[in-house]
Amino acid sequence: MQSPYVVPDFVQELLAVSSSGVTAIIQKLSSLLSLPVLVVDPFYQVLFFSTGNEAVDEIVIIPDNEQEFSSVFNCQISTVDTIKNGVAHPITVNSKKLGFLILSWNDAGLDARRYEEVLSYASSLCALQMQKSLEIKREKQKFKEAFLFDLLYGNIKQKEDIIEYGEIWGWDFHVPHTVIVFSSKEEDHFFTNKQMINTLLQIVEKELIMQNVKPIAMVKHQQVITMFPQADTNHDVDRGKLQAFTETILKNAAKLAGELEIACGIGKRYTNPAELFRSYQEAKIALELGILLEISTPMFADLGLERILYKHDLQDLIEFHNHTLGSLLEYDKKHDGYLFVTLEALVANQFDIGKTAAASFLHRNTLRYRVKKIEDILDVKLDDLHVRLNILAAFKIRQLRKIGNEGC
Amino acid sequence: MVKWAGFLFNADDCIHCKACEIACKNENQTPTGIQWRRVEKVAPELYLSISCNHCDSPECFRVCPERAFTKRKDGIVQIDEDLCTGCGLCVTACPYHAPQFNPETHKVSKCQMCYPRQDAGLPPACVEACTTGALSIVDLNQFSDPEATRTLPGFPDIRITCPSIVFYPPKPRKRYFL
Amino acid sequence: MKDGIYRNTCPRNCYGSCSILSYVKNDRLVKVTGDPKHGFTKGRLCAKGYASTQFVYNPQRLKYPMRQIPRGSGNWQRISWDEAYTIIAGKIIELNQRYGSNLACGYNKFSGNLGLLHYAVEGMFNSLGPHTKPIGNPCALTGKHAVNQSFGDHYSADPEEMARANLIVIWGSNPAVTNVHQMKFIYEARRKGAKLVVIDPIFTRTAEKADLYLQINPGTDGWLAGAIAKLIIEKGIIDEEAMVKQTIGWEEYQQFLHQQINLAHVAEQTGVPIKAMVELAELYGKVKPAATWAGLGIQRSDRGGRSISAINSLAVMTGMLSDPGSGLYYMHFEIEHFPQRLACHDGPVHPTIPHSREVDMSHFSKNALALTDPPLKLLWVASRNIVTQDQNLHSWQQLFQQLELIVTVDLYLTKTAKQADIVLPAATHFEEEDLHVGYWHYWLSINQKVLPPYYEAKSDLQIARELTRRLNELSPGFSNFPYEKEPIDWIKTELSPEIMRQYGINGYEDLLDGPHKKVAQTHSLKKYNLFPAIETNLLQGDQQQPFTYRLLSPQSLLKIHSQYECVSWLTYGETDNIIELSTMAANEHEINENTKIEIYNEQGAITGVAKINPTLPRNVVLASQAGSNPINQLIFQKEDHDANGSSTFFYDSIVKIRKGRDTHG
Repeated sequence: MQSPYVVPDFVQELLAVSSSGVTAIIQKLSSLLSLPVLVVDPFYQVLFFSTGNEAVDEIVIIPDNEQEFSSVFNCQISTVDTIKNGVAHPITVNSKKLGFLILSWNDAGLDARRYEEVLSYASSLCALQMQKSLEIKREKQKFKEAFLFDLLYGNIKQKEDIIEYGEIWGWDFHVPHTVIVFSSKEEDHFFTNKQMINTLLQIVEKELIMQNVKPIAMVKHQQVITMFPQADTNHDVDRGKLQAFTETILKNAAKLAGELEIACGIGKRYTNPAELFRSYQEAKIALELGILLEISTPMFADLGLERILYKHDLQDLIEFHNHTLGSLLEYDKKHDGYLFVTLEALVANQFDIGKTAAASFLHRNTLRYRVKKIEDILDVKLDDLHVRLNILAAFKIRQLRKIGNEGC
Repeated sequence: MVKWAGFLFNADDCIHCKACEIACKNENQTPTGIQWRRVEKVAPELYLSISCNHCDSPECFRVCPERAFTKRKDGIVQIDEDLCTGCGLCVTACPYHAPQFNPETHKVSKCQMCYPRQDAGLPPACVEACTTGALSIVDLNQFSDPEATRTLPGFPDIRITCPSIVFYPPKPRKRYFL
Repeated sequence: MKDGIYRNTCPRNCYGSCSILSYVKNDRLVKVTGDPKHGFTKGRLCAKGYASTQFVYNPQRLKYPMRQIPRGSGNWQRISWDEAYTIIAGKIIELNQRYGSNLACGYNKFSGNLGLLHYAVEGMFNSLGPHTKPIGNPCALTGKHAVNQSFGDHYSADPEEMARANLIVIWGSNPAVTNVHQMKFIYEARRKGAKLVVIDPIFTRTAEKADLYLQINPGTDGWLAGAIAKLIIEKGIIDEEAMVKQTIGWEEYQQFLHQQINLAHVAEQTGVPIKAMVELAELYGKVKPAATWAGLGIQRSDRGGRSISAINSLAVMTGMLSDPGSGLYYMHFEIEHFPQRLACHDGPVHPTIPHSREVDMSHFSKNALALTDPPLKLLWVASRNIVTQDQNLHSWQQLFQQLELIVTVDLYLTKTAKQADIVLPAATHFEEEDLHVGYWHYWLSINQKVLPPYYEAKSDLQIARELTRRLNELSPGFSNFPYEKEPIDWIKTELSPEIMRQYGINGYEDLLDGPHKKVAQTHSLKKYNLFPAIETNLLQGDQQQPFTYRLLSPQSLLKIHSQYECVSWLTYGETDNIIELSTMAANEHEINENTKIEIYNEQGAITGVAKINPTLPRNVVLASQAGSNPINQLIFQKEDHDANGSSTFFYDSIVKIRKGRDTHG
């Protein structure tokens, strides 16, 4: 009688758990061999660990020698305080390398070849599972833009749903986020430079990765939209980080985007991700006002007065402007004077004589004389807070509504 | 890519016949005084037919405390009247007077770009009614014409909201007046 | 009716005669759309058409028959149809007994509803034997005569063909307001490179769209047409052989142009600079095919007939003979080819009176007042709002006083209905059957009854059936109206074999699937008469006194005459009683925008709000029709030169302007 076709037990046991995923496979393998098992990506970043993922971040895999690892090979596994030996087997699908399956042990001198067959078999099982999840991921990627659209337009009303969906792409919506919008300063919203906008997206994503943030970013029409996580409870730290981030993007974009000037806008921070749509709308407003006011990193939260002034009836605004500054403009026109510019500088320097003098290269006394003159012409006292507010508002109106020097 | 539904208004072809305005009322049976679409003379020889512009950055949507507005993936901005409390914030926020308050129902309503018709493959009622073809809908993701403009004199400021409408301006003509 | 989509036809006095698809649910009209099967409207309606639901379900519509005692008091009492018929029939019979005939009974019916079955009013009176009947056409008769004289028949080219033209010249018509569906054919032509020329005293919405606009002094179009013809001949851009062969009076015509038309003089008369005439002549001479449209506006003036003739001659010269695309447009009268059985119904023969008494519609009140033996005593008003539309209201007031019974059939309590003793609520076109043929395009369409009557409203035909039946009950044999015939019977009668052949149908059922266009044009124009264009009195200049203004009152966009005044969708935001005047006239009278002004003449005075229109000629004021203070109060036509009758010369009215006086109430 010929010997029967025997399927080894380990094959049966591994196959039985394989549909539950890579973790189940390596856990089973680990218990079969009584050795820890890992799966790493092609760059030796750990993906799965049979003992759980707690200590995984600390591990470095070092292949032995310059081996051509087409099949099983030896390697070293270094954690923070130990170096262990191991044997690895590539995980491939259609000759595409998805990663490696690795056994590790403390003692030296285990015969790698003894494990070759079981590793090869387990690797194929892992390969199938990893390929499957890759496909699912790709499939999900298609939904990413739809999800972000829904997020930006408030179509998902439940916080929990957003958090759950976010996890698919590794985004943590427990953390508060702020929406930042980048766009070209060009006024035309419809006729987009697609290449420029994709470059901008890359810049944003790269910078986020550098900051160890899983990027939430998308292109919509002519904008790049990103959601910036802000875990810090300290307001100033948050602000600082936001500002630094946007400035970096603008700087990098300036290098790459060439002719096109890039503007940005920053919304408010929202703890509830279901409210992020507001942050997006706010960011877009900040962007528009930022262009008008020549603020490089405009934040919606800072633009309250500006928004009110921008929305207000133009005729009314012009009246207010002329009432507040008209006589000074007229005086300058008649006398070829510079008092208006002086007042503008004063406003820009928070009405601080010292700073203004320095900024406009004027002697303090000259400046004082001019301020007195301005007060006479406008018939106001510039140390009065109400007067200052009016003048500040009038200057903002000029910027926002592009009222020329002729004003009126 | 998903379409971006927008209006294309050819001011050179519009004859101010108001068929679009009343066809909207016919389709939606809105009461007198609620004008989801309006034809207005904004300058000599310049008429505009304006409705909700289904803005890319809808202010109505941003300011609504009840989240009664939604923006569909094709860009259509809808209002759910059941959620509306009639607070009127959207009415003041919109530069185009698109959301309109009905003092009888204490609700706001506005042009929904005939989405049930569009979903059924039909043009909005106003577009269907335009006898000269001056008003049409376009996919702004695809639309590109150097002769088209983003705004016309007399049209409200498009900053902030980015309305989903493009225009053709009137062409100059030759005239002999008495 | 079962829920569904049905076919109606807009019955208004309008170029469109639009086919309507009516969406009916639970016996209610829920919305309307245009009918895509209609080749002229291509599935569109106008603003008024789209307001149909509000037109039907309007709280201001008349619901029941009412009687006003005394007339003009506003003391209206609801009566039953039965009572109404008894009163009216009783009066007709009493007058018949008093005068020995029905000549004391008459009607005034015009264009409120152009359906063929609305000839029921004519049919009803015909069925009484000799009576007093209006004839003529205040709207278009003068132009019709002129076209007939030029071509030996009525003629107006197929408007859909205008899309093929390379030149479109519109004289005194404003399709952007009055004929919106035509605009797309004009634009279609233009997109293919055609030029649009508009000649009009008013810088209309159509003029705004023209590639070339010539502003012209009102009533001087004949001059301009002559000058253009002269220039074309001088430049030799004309098919002389065809002219010799196919026209009558070519030699005389040339001679006239040569001898009597002086360009400088024409420029002075018309206000059109010679440079512009040359430009138009170049276009007319060289660009083919050229469509020429002689608008109704031209012939609302004493000199209108001659102007239309001159334009006809120009159209003949510029290609009408050789190129079918070079059409002349006016309006056509295809309806006259229909049997019109109701209008032509033969009544019982009267032993001594052979015919009915005929009164020219354009001068109805004056002529009716002149009738004696018997005087007119009963007036039936249908499809008509005399008090806001007709001229010479003073003689109307006199006539009203003479009348013993005035019956008005209408949808609303109009200004005319308020002068009646009895008003009868009329059905809308959604509540009655009818058959319609256009007067601009060549489509025939049916009108289905899709709604139950609004309260007690009835159609003109239904009223005719019921009233004649009552007459015969009271006095057997009084009327020979075939009241047993149903509306559909009348529709079938109108669809004679010849008509069905022309429109390519086998029965009315075909029309339920959509409107049908006339298959073959029946007119074969053989004779082109150039001569009538030339009358020496064309040469008489218009001597308008200083500080007097010609009153023009064209159609407004959202009304047809006074119709649709009660539809709030249409009136919302519109201002009533605007009087437009030129900047010069405003300066002459120190009048500011939006101030109260009066225009006045011997007939009376109208108060309105001034609107300064910088494009208006100095000597023209512009007002819309109807409204709370109708402009026709100032319109008075002295005499009618044409023995065959004429249109009403609404645009010959002269007014003066003064600042408004503040009166209260």
